[in-house]
Amino acid sequence: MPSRRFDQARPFLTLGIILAFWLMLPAGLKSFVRASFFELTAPITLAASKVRDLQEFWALRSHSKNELIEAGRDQARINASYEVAVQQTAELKSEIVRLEELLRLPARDQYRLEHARVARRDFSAWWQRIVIRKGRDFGIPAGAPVVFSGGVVGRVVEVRASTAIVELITSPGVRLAGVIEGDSRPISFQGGNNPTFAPPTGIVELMPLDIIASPASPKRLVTSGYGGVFPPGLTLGTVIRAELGSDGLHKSGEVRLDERLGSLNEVTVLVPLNVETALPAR
Amino acid sequence: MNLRRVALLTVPLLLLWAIQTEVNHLLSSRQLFFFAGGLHVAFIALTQPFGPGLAAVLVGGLLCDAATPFAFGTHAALFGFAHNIIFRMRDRIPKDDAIAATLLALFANFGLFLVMSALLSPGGPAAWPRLAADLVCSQVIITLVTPWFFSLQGRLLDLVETALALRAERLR
Amino acid sequence: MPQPLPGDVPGLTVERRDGRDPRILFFYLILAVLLLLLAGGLAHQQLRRTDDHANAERVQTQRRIVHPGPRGNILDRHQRVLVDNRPRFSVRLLLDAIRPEIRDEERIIRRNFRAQDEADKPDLPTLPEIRRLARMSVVQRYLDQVNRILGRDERVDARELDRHFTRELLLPYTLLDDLAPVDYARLLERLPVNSPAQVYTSSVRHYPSGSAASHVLGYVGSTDEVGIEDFPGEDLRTFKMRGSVGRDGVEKRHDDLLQGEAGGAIFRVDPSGNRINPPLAQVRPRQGGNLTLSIDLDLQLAAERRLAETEMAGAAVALDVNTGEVLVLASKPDYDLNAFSPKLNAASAADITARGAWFKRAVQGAYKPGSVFKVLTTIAGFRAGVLQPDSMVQCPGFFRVGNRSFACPGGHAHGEIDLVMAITKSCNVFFYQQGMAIGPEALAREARRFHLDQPTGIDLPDETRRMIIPDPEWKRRVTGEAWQGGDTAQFAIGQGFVDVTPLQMACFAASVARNEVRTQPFLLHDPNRPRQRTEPIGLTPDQRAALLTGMEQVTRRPFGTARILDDPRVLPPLPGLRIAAKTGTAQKQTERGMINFAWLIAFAPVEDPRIAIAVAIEGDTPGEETGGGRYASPVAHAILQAWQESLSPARAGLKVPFRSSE
Repeated sequence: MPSRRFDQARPFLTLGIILAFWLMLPAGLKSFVRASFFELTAPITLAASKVRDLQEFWALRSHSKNELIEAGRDQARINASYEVAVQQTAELKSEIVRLEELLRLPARDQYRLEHARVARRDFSAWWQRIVIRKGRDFGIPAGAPVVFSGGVVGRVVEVRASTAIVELITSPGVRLAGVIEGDSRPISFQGGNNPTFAPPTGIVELMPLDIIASPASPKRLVTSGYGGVFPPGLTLGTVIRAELGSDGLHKSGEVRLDERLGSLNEVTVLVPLNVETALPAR
Repeated sequence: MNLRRVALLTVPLLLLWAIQTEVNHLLSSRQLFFFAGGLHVAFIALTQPFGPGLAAVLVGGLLCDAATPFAFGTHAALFGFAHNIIFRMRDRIPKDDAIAATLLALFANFGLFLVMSALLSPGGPAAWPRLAADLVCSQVIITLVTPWFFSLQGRLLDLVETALALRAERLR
Repeated sequence: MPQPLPGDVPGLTVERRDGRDPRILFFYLILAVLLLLLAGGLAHQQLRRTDDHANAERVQTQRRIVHPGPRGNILDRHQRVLVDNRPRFSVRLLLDAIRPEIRDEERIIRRNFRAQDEADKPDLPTLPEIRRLARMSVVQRYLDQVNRILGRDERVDARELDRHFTRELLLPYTLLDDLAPVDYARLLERLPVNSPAQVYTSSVRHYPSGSAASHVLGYVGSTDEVGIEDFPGEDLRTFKMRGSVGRDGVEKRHDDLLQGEAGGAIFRVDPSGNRINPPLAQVRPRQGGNLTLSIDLDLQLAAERRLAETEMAGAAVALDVNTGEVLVLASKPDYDLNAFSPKLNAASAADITARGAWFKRAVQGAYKPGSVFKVLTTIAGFRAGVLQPDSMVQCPGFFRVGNRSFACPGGHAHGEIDLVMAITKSCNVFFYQQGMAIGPEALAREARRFHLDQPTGIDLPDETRRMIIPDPEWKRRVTGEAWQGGDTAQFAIGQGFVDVTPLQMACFAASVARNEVRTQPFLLHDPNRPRQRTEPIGLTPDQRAALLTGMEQVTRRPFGTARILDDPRVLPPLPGLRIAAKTGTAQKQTERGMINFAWLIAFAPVEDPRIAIAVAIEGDTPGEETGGGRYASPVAHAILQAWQESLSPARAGLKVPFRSSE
């Protein structure tokens, strides 16, 4: 009898011993094992991503010449307008430099733009992350802000040899200091719930009482630049609801985020030129 | 422990992981998530010897853990636990019945999903609709792929074992 | 081992048990009892104590946060903000969440001590010392993290930390307080979401006008008494943010109205103690009621500015003649109320004490009124029938009572002088004679008729009760001495034993302006407050005309003691404004010598009085002539100028509450 009972418990005992052993392993070793497992799967992730690119390439190849000509024409127009914008930006930049020198202001944080393909999107109720196809090989630092054409994507949380993991602003673990466009008072933004078949949402807190926002008159929330991680003026989302918060001094509200965050294919990592001072110690 | 068998059992798990990540990549635009924990453990716990089975399941768990933001080993521990429970019950479950195997995978997945949610749930009751949608999505996909995945694992083992037997015979 | 039964085949042992074996039965019984106990216990735990367990689980997984409601705003009569709230950001450490770290640190400290060489091994600290070291080290670690983010170099205050651990363990420990917006924005972005160190907000009082009306507004202090009614979860672990309570001024007097209603939230926490949004229950705090004071900020600022320019201590009070609402209640020196927000530091407190700025001269300063009291002597003379509008007195420059001689200011002989000129030039001899004729009892009776012997009952704490209207009986009671003729002479010109506050004299001026005996001052503004009506003074039209003429002449050149009000070379003219006033210069013997107190009471316009003013300024140099005309008149002028400007349609239009164009 006892031996049978022991036989029945043996699997759990074995598992218990393994887990106890695992818990006692030094954190460094676990970190190494984790990195190893990640790097083991990285080629699969990258290969799958490249296959998707190839698939896209062939899908594009199937377009007719007329369609390509039309797309080329549209592209040329967009390029023309961007050319103008680039020239204006260059002029504004030189003006900023001139004013900074004149007023003896410290130069603003500067970034190197590192464009990267999204290798994998991993959005659950538990986490919201993407894996991008650039990592240490392109000098991506942990903590670097990541943006796309619609605004802020999130922040790099882990950097591997040829990939990096980005935690999205839709994730409850991400918090930023934003401002309502045209205002200068900082507001706390944090990722919130991400309902199915609907745009992701975030929450705002510490919003001044005089800010009124509703679905009918939403307010655009942009990065403040105060935190030092994100440059100012990048779109976070639109505040669609604001009501008196529990401290009675501020409002809390809901932010609707860009639904394109769920189908990102290409992002840009803003790599600070001075990584030491610009990024939070992790 | 038969390391060759462990490796053999781990290969389909790697494939399952790759498929799971691809499916999630596609589902992300709809804010849905496919969790395949049950599939990771069901076949192995039902058919394989304890030692290699547990080892393969733990490796599969670590594979899932590598890219998640939570304590490294969370998936592995949960998969190991689920493996042991199924292993204990497997005498009472028909091994060759596809429906029984599918139900087992669904139950295992359901249990693992609930435990994961309890451990990691970030949003309280407000996140429940999303969790429910993810669970339904996962269960539907598991229902569809379990027979295929079971047979894939079974065939792979048969194939390798037959090849090894033939080689042994030739050598003899 | 069972024995073979007789008759059994040898070599074959059959195991038989008799169910009625008493020993087996006994064991069955014990087993049954144990099983019953187990089942009973289980049933008790599962059925009867379900609520207890559910409650224990609830207490363990839920946290309650109580926020005091913001206090109401204090506004001036034109709805301009005198006091409101501003959010105050701090970074605080949840001590609950760092408990495991502190335990680890204790182990490390103990191990480090033990690991030292035997030779120079110090004595192992006691457990409380190790605990103190451990929490200092862990808290400093978090502060260093904040320091790195903000580029600061702050250190943990060991004594404050010990105090917090012993007295306020449930509350988060404040690492840094009063953060600038940029600082808290940096912390929001750079502190991990689940860090035990988080940015918190609280509400502190904000005084846009700094020291304006500081003695009226008062200040608040912090309190732990933040109650939240009808909010469940009293048994839960509760984090109470500190509230505030009025400690002085209207903040204290109207604390009930200003005090907000506390709000709170109950959050579920995950196993790591991180709160899970949204809250399970939430009561939003509500701001306290707003308080609209009768103070006019423009007039108040004008009075304070002018008082400050004298560089002497003093007070100025202005009342609405008809309603008694206080338009100005200024007292210098005072203090910047923002120094109290969030907490007055020791250096500022010492500075306020050194400057004597705690003393609210307008309501607490009991001064001899000097010649402004001659208005009351005039009224008493009229009512006693000893004085007529055309009474004449010969002023040789001094007045002898018994063997004591009392002089006019500077020993100046006015010659034959009538009532109007006596008021205009403030001739002491004229009023000595009148006082002697009236008698001290009638003088005191008249003063009491104007309620100068008692506090005004203004809506402020700490109004003094030290005002004195003396008479022979009073002197006998207090000093044990008999009343002398000289006492009556002194009394008649507001010297001697008489003491009044500037607020009382403002009320007196308003009463004279209305031709009534009492004015009740009000600090709360009521747009529909009716005109006050009390007992008429009882003067004939001729008597009142003589009094008012005398008082108006005080503000006129060439003889008026407050003639600088009519001198455009000294003060800007107040076009079309007829002012009735009386100046005074009271003397007080101090340890340093004779100090003068400059006084002025006034009301305007003479034809339809609407504003009454009293100004008192304490001279600061012994022997220096601090005359009411020279020192107090400019303060009254500043108030009247601001008042006149506030009446102009252009300015009045500005004070209409802002309405957005639609």
